[in-house]
Amino acid sequence: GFFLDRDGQPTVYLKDARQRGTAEAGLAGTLRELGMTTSQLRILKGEFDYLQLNDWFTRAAPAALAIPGAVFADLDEGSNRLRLGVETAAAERSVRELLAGRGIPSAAVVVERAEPIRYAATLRNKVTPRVGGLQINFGNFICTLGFNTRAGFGLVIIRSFITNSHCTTVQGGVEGTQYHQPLAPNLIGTEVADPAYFTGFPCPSGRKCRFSDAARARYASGVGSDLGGIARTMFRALGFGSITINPANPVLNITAEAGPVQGAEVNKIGRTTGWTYGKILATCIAVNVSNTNVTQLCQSRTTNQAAGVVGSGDSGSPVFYWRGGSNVTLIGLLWGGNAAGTFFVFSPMSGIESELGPLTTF
Amino acid sequence: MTTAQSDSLRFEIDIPPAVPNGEPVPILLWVRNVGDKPLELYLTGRPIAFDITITRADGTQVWRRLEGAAISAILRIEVLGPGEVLELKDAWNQRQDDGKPAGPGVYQVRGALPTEGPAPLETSPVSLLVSAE
Repeated sequence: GFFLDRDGQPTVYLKDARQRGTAEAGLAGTLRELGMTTSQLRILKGEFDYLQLNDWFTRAAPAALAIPGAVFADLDEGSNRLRLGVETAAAERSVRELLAGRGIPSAAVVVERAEPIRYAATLRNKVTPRVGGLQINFGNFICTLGFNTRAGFGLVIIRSFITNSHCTTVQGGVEGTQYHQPLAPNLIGTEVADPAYFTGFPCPSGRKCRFSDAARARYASGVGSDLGGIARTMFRALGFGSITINPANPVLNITAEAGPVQGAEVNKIGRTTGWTYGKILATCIAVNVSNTNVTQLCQSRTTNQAAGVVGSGDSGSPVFYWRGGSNVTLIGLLWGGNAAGTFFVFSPMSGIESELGPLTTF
Repeated sequence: MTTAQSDSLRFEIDIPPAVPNGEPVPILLWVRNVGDKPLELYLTGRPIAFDITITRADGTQVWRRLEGAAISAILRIEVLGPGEVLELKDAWNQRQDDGKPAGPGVYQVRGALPTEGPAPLETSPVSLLVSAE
């Protein structure tokens, strides 16, 4: 029955104030650990004995929590009451009936409305419907789902998602790569478009090129997806942002597309470093991919900043402008960065759509 | 399977102790599972990205393999069985990051393997003597 009140004063409810001496003796050790003394202990007149409350709690809490819509059960030492949280009016009625049936006086109980408490999902968990930013897996590789697209052919709607071309079995060309989210065996789609790389001007001699590191996969039947949705995590950072999906506000919505502008602030959400952001250093640069003969033409990169703006597994992350709120403007698809993770490189939407065709992204 | 732990994993670098000035320096990085259970390594890139840093005695960087390089940010899971070794090879052409010859002297060479985590796996540094002709 001991607690610190809102001013930090040690307090205890006693049904009989003459028990102060007993309370002080029992709490002396605890008070000492808190850097306090028994003289600071404040006694409040309790309507109910703590042991009585504990007995009622023990008898009622398991059954109360079994009621659909029950959220929590608490022996609240700060109010000398049992406190039960419920989602709905129906749950409240059921809880009150239960307590009355167990002979627990209504005066000893506070039943209040509460929001449900859920496990916090991350970008690396199975999340439905599928949205941008989530972890995907093929073979022994892990990437990030970029963004969803939709194409309509008469009465047929084809739902797809975009990720990197290097996040397919073979970069360039279609092999029917099967994707799982977050890991096998949770099949979500199959690669259907991944244009071949070309040689010859404007590609440097001895190398092969494309204007985007992008591929499209078609969703399997029955796999839900949210057009325009990008998983929104708890917070963004210059490096190592949150990967925990915001339960109160789980989705950002693509409402426009745009091109990258040098100096503009851009965001990305990827399964490894979460929601991070930086400024665009350069647009339309040719980038040789380290230790390969691939050159990506007309890409954008961010400035050097804190480590952790990108990490392995973030390939495929959607890149977007964000000005607060829930709406974002899609500008491209992340495919790489430096070893230290202090800058990232992405393909702009113009390059992606020049190779995959016009995409409906919202 | 278990995720790689330092007590089950050896990550080392092999170089010749001395080379003549101007000759390529062969460098081998190797990762060995010294435990008795398979280990999962969470690595970066396609192909696997690895870094080599060469510094002077005072710590000044002379050459770094991945200096300014753009690596694909794909995560690859490599499973090493008990006793199995992953080898990564390259050679240093004795040029600095700016392309100029590094010249004779004693250098420190260290290998690094970018992983999923914030810090890469790193070897201990080894000394390299580049002898004058």
